[in-house]
Amino acid sequence: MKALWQRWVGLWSLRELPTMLALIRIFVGLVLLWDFAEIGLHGIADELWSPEEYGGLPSHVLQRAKPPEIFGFFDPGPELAWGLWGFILLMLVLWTLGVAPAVVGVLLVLAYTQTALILPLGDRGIDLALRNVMLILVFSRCGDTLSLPARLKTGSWLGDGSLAPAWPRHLIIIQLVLIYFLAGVQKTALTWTPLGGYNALYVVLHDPHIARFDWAGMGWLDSMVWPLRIGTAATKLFEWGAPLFLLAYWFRLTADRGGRLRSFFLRFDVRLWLVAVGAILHLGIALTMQLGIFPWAMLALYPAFFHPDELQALLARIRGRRTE
Amino acid sequence: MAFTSRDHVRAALLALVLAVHGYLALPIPGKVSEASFKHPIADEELARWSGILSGVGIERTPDELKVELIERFGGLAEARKESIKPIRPLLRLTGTGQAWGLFTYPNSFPHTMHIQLQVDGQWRPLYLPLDPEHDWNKRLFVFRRIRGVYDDNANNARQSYDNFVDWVALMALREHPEASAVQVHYVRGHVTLPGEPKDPSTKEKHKRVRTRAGFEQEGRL
Repeated sequence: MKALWQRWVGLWSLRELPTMLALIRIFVGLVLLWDFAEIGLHGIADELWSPEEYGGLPSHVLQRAKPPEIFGFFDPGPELAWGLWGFILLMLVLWTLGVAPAVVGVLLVLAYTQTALILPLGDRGIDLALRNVMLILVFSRCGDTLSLPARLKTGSWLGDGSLAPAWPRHLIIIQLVLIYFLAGVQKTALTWTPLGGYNALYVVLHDPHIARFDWAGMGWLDSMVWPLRIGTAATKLFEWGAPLFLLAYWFRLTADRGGRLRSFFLRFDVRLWLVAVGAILHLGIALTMQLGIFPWAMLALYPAFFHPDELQALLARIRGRRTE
Repeated sequence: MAFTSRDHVRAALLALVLAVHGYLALPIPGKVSEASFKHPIADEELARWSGILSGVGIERTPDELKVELIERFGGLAEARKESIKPIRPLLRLTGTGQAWGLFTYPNSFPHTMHIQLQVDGQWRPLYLPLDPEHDWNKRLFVFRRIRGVYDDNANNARQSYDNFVDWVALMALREHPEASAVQVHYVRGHVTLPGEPKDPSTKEKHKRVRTRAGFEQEGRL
């Protein structure tokens, strides 16, 4: 038991460059900046976050047993809605630049949550995922590199190159695995299974509120039944197989031990294949459906799948080719 | 390798976080009641399951299946709700949790929102999803936060749908001074699976009409 605990402590005490965490911070910030900028461009902050008494879309928000906490501090209405939008936008700019991510991150998550409480219909699963990840990053040193403070403090955007705890990146990997696996487990509709002919994507792409183009009207769906079935099966298989990511990381951490399965995982880098399938899945969603930031926000978390040394090696290889 | 007490505390805290979030992630339905089955997708799904079970010698009517599901999972959902009570304030304040489901049940009864304008007594389409000829404010309506409002109201319209209609109607009437009224409604279709006969039947739902005169009377226009 003691040995097991020591191993557990060792797993969460690893250190590495915080480059991948910084990249996630930047990508998440940019995706949300795009989302909140769109609210500004459409001029709809007051419609989204003012109670109906003030002309907004949310219903019965003031009559709820527990109204959003922000209404305890500020009067509801268009001014508050736009104030909240401006505050979140400012926090997102600071967050993306890496300015005091611990403080800015907490303020950002708290304000972002209030928008969800005012209009739950405008807040989707991806918002929940991003808040979870931002809260993990709050406890990380994601601002130590690729940030304005790093540049001001050390004269380099990369900072002083000191190592930071690796556990936040590992926690984000676990979060991604949970999202995929649980999404797969909950796809209980028969159309996601062989019993329903793996026709889920065929059905989803018929929804005019979801599809990016009128695939059904173009007759595309009926001529693509088999590719859509393969896509459905591949999606389900990928989601059910998401725990393989954890196995792949375990094998990388214990590469010195033997075993055929470990050798197979290491030789063919199964993790890379899984990453590729996940990326194709999200790009496919972006191409065929209109789900807003969802596919891009998920891809924004993908740097977690890579060790910072891998990025360094890739950059060194690119530089080497250039000098050749 | 020697670890500091800080390392041990961190590992213990992370174990706790993983245990709590692992529990939150358990795929237990949020609420299972009679109301959960008031959707044509549920009818279709229960009928399919009933057919499959019958094929392997288990005879259950869709209604019997429904009752069994409510009995088995209704209590479980309630128990889970009670058990997470202590951490619910923290989850609420931080907007975090572990509820994941994307297209759990693909909608085989999709809705199409229609926005129409009345000019000289005639209704004419203003916005129709995926129709390039009627794409008034398209970028606004496909924006995920707005789509969430009208799409989630399609099956069962609530007050936020009426708020949405008011907002859309006011925008349209301001932009089109020639119009006397705005109508918003959904048309529900039915997607049958490949190989099954097509179902051309549609159902008009949640029709709402807002008039310029009405808004003027209320002082909103």
